[in-house]
Amino acid sequence: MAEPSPERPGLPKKVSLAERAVSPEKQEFLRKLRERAQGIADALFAAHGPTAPKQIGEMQGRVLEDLIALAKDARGWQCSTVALMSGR
Amino acid sequence: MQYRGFDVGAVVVGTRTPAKEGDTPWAVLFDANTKPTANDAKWCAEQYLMDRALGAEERLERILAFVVVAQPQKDDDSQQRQITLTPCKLCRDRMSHAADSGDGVISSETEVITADARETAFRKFQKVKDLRVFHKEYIEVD
Repeated sequence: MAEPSPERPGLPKKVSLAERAVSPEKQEFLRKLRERAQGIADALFAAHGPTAPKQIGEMQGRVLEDLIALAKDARGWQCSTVALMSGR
Repeated sequence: MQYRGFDVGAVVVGTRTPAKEGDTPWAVLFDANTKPTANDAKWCAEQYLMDRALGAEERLERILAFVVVAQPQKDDDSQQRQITLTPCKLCRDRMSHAADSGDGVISSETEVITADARETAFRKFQKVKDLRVFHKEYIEVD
């Protein structure tokens, strides 16, 4: 079974999305991204029920466009541990 | 502070057993890369997502696709030039190993869709089984 990669000594700690939301603005942005992700999941359920199509191309509507837009906007969650420690 | 502004965002779309009746079995997770300093090790957006999708708390039964958006650059290991940023060697190795594990969360048929952040109409559609071939790391022989 594939398991999550363990934390490796000497490498920086992985930082969760919630830990990266260091300001009210970032927390609000994270909340909106989560809402969009849930909206896509709900739309997929409405369109396909519980059965996943074999490929993204078989999905209904704007799903791929919405997934790409979400990934593009999620890029803002790159951060540095230096920034986290300083609260920036 | 952002490391040379190299932002990568990624999404996985997949399915899991709903926690309670009425919940959708579909899951859409998103994440981004992190890198403390130029000299430090990176954590890819895909690594974060695989941690979550393969971990206990948010575990998925099946990942249908990874969607990765970033500005393309030459691959650090294969030196392959590309029109979109495909997963790095560490990520494609982990995806391949997960597919080989046979637990079904990630398979060789799992799609990896990459798009250029500057113009998302530039896209590449691959599968996990294509990644090593694309980077000339593994040639399948029948």
